[in-house]
Amino acid sequence: MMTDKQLVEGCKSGQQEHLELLIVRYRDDLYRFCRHLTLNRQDAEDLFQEVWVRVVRKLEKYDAQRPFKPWLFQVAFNMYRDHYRKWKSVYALWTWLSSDAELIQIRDPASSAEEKLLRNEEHRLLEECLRSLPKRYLAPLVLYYYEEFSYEGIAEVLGVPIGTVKSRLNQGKKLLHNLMKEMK
Amino acid sequence: MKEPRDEDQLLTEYFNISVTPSPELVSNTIQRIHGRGRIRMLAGLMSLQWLILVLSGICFLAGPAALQWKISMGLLFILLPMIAAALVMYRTMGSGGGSYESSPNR
Repeated sequence: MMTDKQLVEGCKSGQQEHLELLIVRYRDDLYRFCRHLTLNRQDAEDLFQEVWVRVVRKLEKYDAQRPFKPWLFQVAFNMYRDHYRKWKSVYALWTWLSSDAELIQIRDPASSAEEKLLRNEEHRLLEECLRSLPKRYLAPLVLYYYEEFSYEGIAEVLGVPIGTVKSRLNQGKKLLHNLMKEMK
Repeated sequence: MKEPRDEDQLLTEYFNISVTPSPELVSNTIQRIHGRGRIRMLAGLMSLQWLILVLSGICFLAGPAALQWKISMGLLFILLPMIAAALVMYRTMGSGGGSYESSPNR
C-alpha cells in the first residue's frame, strides 16, 4: 500500500490516479468532518469538493514531512471558516430551513425499534443544540470526539494555542449542556 | 424507556455514526478540480489577451490614423475582448460538461 507521502509526490508530478487514491483514502474521514461542521449534507459535499480543489492548488507548498491528515483537516477547517464568514446569513437560513430533513440517522440493525427511535430523538436534539452553538466551539468538539485528535493535533488543525483548544472544549461542552437542558 | 445517557457518551456516539457520502462524490470532486483548472487557465489566457489588445490599442491610437478610424478601432479593442469573454464564460459555465457549476452536487 502506498503511503500518503508517495501519493502526494505522485499528485505533485501530475499523476491523476494518485490524486484519486488520495481522495478515496480520506473520503469517509473528511466527509464526516465536513458533515459535522456544516450539519448539512449538501454543504458537506460542497465543502469536501472545495477542500480538494484547494488542496490540489496548494500541494506545491505542502511540506511532505508533516503528516497529511492534519494538514488536510486544517485546509477543510479554514475553508469552512472562510465560507461560513462569507455566507453566514444564507447559511444560517439554509440550515434552519433544512434542519428537519438533514438529521443523521442511526443505521444499527442490532438495536430495537424503540432504542433506535430514542437515539434518533437524542441525536436530533443534540444536532439542534450544535446548530445553536457558536461556531468556534463546534470544530474542537468534532475533532475531539470523532477524530480523536490530541489537544496538540486540534491546536495544529485550528491554528490556535493548546490552552485555547482546552478552554473552547470546556466552554463548548458547558454551552452544549445548557442548551440541551433548555431544550429538554 | 431508557434514561437519557451521559452527554459525553452521546457526543462520542453522535460524532462516530457513519455518514455515507453520495457514491459520485469522488468523481464529482475530480471533475470539479479539472473544471477549476480549466477556468484558471482560460482566465490567464484572457488576461494575456486583454493586455496584448490594450497595448496594441494604445500603439494604434497614438499613431497618425484618422479620428474615425481611431474611434472605431478603439471600440473594437474594447468590444472584442468583452465578446470573447462572454463566449468563453458561456462555453465554460453554460454548457461545459464537468465544470464546477454543472456538477450535480451544486
